[in-house]
Amino acid sequence: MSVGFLVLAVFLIMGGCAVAVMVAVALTTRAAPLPQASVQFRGYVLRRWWFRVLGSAVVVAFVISIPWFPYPHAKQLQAQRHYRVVAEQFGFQLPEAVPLNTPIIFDVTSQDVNHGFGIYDPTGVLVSQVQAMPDYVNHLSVEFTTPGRYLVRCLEYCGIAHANMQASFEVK
Amino acid sequence: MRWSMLGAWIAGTATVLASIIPAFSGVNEPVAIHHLDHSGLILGGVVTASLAYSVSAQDGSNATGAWLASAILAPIAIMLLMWPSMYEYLDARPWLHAAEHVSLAGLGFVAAYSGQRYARGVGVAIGILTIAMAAVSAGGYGIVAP
Amino acid sequence: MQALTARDLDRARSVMWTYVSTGLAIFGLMAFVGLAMRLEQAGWLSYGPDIFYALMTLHGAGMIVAIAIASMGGLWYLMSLEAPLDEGIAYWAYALMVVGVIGVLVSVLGGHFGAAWTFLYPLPFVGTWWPSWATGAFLIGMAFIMIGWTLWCAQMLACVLTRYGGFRGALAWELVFHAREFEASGKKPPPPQAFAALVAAVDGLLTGTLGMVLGIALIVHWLDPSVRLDPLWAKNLTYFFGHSLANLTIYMAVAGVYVAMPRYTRREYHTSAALAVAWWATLIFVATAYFHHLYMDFVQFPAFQYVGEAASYLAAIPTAVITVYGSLMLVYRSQMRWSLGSLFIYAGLIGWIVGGFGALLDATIPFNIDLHNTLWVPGHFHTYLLEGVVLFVLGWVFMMLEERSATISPVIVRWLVGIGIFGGGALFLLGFYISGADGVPRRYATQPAPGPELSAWASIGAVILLVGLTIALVEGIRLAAVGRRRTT
Repeated sequence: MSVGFLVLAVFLIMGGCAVAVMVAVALTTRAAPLPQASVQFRGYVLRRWWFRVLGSAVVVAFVISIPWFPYPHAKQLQAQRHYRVVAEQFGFQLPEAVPLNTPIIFDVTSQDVNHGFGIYDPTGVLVSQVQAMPDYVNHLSVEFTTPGRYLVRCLEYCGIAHANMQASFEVK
Repeated sequence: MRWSMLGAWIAGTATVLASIIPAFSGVNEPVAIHHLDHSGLILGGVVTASLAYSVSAQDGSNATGAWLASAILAPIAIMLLMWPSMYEYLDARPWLHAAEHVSLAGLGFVAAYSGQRYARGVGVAIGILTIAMAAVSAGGYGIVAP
Repeated sequence: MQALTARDLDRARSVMWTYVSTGLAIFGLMAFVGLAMRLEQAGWLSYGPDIFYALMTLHGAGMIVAIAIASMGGLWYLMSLEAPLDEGIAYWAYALMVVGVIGVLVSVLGGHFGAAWTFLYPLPFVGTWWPSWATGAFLIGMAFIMIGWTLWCAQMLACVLTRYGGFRGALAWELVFHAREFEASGKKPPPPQAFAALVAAVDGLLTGTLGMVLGIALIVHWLDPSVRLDPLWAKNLTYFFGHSLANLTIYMAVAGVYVAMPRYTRREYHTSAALAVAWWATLIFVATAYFHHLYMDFVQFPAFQYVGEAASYLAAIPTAVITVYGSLMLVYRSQMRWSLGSLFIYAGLIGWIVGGFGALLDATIPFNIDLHNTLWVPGHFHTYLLEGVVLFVLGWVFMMLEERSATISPVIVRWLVGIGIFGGGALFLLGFYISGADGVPRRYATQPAPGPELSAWASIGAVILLVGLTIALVEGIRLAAVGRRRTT
């Protein structure tokens, strides 16, 4: 399963649970009403726990996500081989091929407006991306583990032919 | 109140001097630094206004729209006074450059004082944001073609 | 505090209805523009990318301004019940925003300006297929909108500071840090909706200010192209302005939830120290979460990326723990009256939560690599804007109509509206989420597979949604007529 569909599954489960809770609470209005004071008594206790659980979940999620941040370190920039990518309305200047199973750096920039350098693997799954900005170079570190033809699409609205702006390169 | 009055006079005088003298110094600064200098002049105007407002012992209940309009328009005027195409023209004319600086500080005063007259606290907020506008502009202008 | 006269109330209501009806009218028009976009992407219409991108620009700018104006109107009315407000300033702010909207309309419809509502520098000036005057009209239009917005925010700030005793009073500082002394003094803290006004005012002034810095910079470049701007600086300002304005519409609309829910459930909702602290947190996180729009700009200062993710996550806590949970406590085993008004408000909370989940997942940097600038992005913001803010506004409108007419809508109408807005809405939104999960890029006039097929289903969902909204409109007109007959 791709990361995108994994996220979708998580989203649908979380969304479904939230809807279920909201509907369940709404349905309690069919039962005999309780005085607000008695609801508040238990409700505030539960709220303290809800705050602790949510707060902990946020901290844990944040900490867990950090090792997967895509920002290359100085050592990676020095050690890995660099390939220049230049985006312009409406095409990419790309290397013809890049090596398999080797960490590399794409040095991505733009000649004109902001573009997006979006890499799709041979099965059509979006595997990585970075912005292509004028006057700046973004360094994208990737390692391709599947050989084949990779498609590049522009992922930042850049003008009338934005949807047709694509290129490809070989991983071998 | 006497200390506030003295403070307002000192701040105002210092701001005017800081507005005029550098325009004649002939120092060539990067555009970004110059924007920060401008934000410093606006800060002088805002501080002077805050002290002057406290002297006037207004209770902030004179909330007419005219004061608010003045507080909103003054920062816009400040931005327009820093029109980049005018840089070279002003640099070559120290008196005009000094006048521009005094105007920036003066408009900072107007923004903060008018805001305070509209409602106490609003002028401080608008003053701080006006200074921020000039400071933030330092990050965007003065880019030279590669 | 002086009691409001009947005349004051009438004037305040006039301001509210002017804002709300304008906002909802623009929303309605923009909904059809959005449908036209999805139909193009489905391949059922074929008017070409130049028109598509002009409509996309109009839809984005128009929708944000529409929901902002509607929310501003409701919050203004609520604050006018707290302190006398000069309606002249409200009308000036309204007029400036309307002039701005006209500028945007002229630029898009007349000039086909198509740089998207984010007008990301240097796109409005490079490779354009529209005339230069259209760029100017759009930028000047947005500047007018910003000035109107800033004026409104300044009035709100003045209101809370004057009414509640400066920043300390408006923040309920004493309630939080000196609770015993505060309660012993017999003073009352600001009501919950006043915190929405404070946050909208402070963050709104910041948004308006930095929006003006960007707007003027772009106008300078339009008039003098030799003046170059730093693209990273421009991008930061663009997304700060855009994110904050869109986010603030939710928090402004939430003020209505704080007033409507107690009325419907016949329970009380008061300011507590926890509520005050939650809004302090919101004040900070609304302004700092915007960094999540620049995760894929690796040249951004690294600390900002961490702040963006942290702020995006933390922003969920006040919402979940105070507003949503607080609403659930009001509803649980209450004498809740389920009318269209209360259903809209409650469903709006669901939309906000679900859209929030979509946002949190996208705001997780490792996931953002796979979701950034795919259709997931419009998926999540359509969820909490369309099925969140718009429903809050509709809920408020219907609450007022129900109170005036002393009647509620028949069960069949509630079911039809519900199926339309939620059934159709779910189908419409799933089109975005599934496409995004599959890597279909956003802002593509012509999409790669499976985009067109999913766009087709989404278009069907949008039509059903519009039918539901139309039934709600007709029902609203009916309730208004009943209310008029009752009060004359």
